[in-house]
Amino acid sequence: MGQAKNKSKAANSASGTAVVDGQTLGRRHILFGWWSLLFFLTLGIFLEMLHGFKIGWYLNVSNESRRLMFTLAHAHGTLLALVQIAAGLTIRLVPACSAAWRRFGSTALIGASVLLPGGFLLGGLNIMGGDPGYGIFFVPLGALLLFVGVFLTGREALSLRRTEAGRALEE
Amino acid sequence: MNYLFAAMAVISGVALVYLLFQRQFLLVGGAAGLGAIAVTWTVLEAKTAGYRPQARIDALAGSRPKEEVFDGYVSSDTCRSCHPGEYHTWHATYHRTMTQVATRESVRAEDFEGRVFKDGGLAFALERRGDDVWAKIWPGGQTVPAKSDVHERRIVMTTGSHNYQVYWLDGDYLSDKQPGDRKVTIFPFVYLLDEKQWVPRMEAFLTPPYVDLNSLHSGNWNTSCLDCHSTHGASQTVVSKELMTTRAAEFGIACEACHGPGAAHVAANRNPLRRYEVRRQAAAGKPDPTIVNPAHLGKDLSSQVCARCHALSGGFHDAPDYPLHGFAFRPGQDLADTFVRARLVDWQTNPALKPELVKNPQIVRDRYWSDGMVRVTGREYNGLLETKCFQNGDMSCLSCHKLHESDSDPRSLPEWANNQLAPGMETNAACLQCHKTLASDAAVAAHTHHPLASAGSNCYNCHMPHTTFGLLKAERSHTVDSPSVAVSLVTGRPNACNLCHMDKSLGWTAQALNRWYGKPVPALNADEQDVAASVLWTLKGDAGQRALMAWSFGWAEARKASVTGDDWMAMYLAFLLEDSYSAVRIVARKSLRHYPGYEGLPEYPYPADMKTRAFAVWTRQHPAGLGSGTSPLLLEKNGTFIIGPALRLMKARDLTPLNLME
Repeated sequence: MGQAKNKSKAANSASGTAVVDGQTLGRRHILFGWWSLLFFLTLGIFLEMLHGFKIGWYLNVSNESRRLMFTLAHAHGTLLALVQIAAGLTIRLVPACSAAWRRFGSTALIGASVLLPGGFLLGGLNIMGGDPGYGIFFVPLGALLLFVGVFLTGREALSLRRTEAGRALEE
Repeated sequence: MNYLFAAMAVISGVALVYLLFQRQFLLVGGAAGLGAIAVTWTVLEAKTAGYRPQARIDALAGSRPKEEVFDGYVSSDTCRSCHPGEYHTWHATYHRTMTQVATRESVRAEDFEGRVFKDGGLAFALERRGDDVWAKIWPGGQTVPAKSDVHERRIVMTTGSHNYQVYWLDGDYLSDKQPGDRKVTIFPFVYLLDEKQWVPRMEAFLTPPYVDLNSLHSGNWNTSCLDCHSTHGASQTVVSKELMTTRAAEFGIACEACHGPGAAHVAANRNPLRRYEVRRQAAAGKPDPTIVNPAHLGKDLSSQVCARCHALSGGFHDAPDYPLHGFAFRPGQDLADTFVRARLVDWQTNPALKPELVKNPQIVRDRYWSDGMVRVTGREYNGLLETKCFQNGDMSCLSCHKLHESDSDPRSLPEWANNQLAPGMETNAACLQCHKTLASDAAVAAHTHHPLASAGSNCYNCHMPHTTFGLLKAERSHTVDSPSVAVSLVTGRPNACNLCHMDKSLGWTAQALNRWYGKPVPALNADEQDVAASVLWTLKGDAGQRALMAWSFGWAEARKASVTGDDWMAMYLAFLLEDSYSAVRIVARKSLRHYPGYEGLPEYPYPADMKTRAFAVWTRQHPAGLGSGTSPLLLEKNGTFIIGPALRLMKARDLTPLNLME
């Protein structure tokens, strides 16, 4: 593990790019996940209050699209926050995090966590009848990044070492 | 657009294969994702090209007119997904519920179990069976009908939900036809919703008492009502006039009645990118060309959308196409291309109206005051046509009315739906849109000569008074004009001043109008000079004038404006309870509901001593009789008529038969 890390660092310094190691990135994702979770749970409480006080801007039938968009923002944001935490933990378990993941996977996951719920949120702020506002165009972009991020993370997870206990169990 | 995405799908596929061979798994994922998106887009776009309506479930197919999307109509169900707010406010309107399939919720009549209704030689009894209401029909002479004489028909449709409700039975029970030809026949009694009473349908119209009041033949949904009480109705004669198939794109007046058929609009806007482009264009003032929005039409075309139903007409030019495809008029088109306009002047000049005039020479008197102003409700476009603000200005129906309530409107949906006025348009703000010089309180007070908070400072009350009649009530004329005693004398139409100041004479009004506005005082006889105008119209007016008086005596503003109080009005309402026209009697009874103490009076059918009972209530309430100033009212202090002049006026009553069929 230590050798792999050194190799990775050496490769980075050779190419001149400042790519951080897997442990640091994992920590970054875990941190991002928890803070993101806090934000979207707060959004949930905010939405509950809009329900509680029967705010027409959110609840009127003519604002049906806004309610849907905000609900989607809350749901996606919360779920993606958990995904960030899971991804961070996964990467910390990977013995040698690949440069591809560090360059693209991490960025894609973070981008998805911002663009997907953010797109829904912005789309709900300025609805156009039955359609969300222009912010909704961030959503497909975020979905694509999520797709790439999850794919790369899954690919990274293939290199997870089996534990001694697990190996013994299989044998 | 689908070509673009098909190309993307192919490119993604090729890239996928290449990258797999190159073992570039990072990019393989991306290419696969892009390919999946492109394929999905292409398939969805191809699948949803054009508009194919979903089949509608019609459990009663065969026994009543059916709802069926055709001729490019898609129904409000389709509109809802993209226009939820507009759908929601329309859903609250009486337009939507003008025609409904009969259900437990839509049939609002109560108090019918065990009651026998008699009309046209037949007896009817209604009973609820589960969610349905059924009518038993038998020859009216039989108290206990033989089982073989009893026909049973289900109530399958309703008309109306605002003032009263009409019910339709499946099949034609008059000719003993079985249900199955989509013909419905009217139930001969209507249910007054506020009063919770049944009255014979023909008596709900202002109809001469000596005409056949048989209501059974008076309604024909299949060939008449569907034209305006449904969206895009068409009635096809299949075998004979007796057997017809009738369909409508939607029961009630739905989205497409005002916006036109929506299939092309729906098909075009399945593409989300187009929708955003349409929004962008709309923000720049270019509306979507695939649908009509009356708000973006000029005053003429937008008003003609309403005129399609809210106008008197002499029929439609496109009758040959009607059985299969309904009327050819579509919102946004010039109504004159397909519609025979019927202003008073048109009856004298348009040969297309001659057949109708030959058939019913009374039609002109039954629809218009003699100066051309319409006198029946529901024909507001005719009122608008006679208005200078429309002829010379920009006034249209949408100047005051808003067909979708906005979120910022402080009124509740039912409040707004009552008249569908835009916010503030029930106040002087309606007229101040153009007449800006009257915007200040001082200007209003100087113009009206009435206290600011009084009904006399409301533009509508003077310039659009309640001079049309229908649905057992008076409505505003929808012609903007100014009060004039001279016009009242010539046309018989009550002027705005005397509709509020009911205890004042025409002479009093003429002097006030002369003093304030310089209007010449016309020549008046002694009665017109001295007797309250409302008393003249009540005693010697025609049935239409009497009906307006019966309503006005119950109008809160008029009761407040009478300086002699409103006690005397109850006496005239009691008098009108004996009017020869049923509608006048019913309106008088409705007005008496506003007076305390009369709650115990019988409801329809009124007993022969109805007036005596009402008078007894009055006498009990006023042991000291009326106060001073009863002479212009032709009443003695004890509330009885000053018999001489009252009899003289009654003998001079205008007995011309009047048939105000709105």
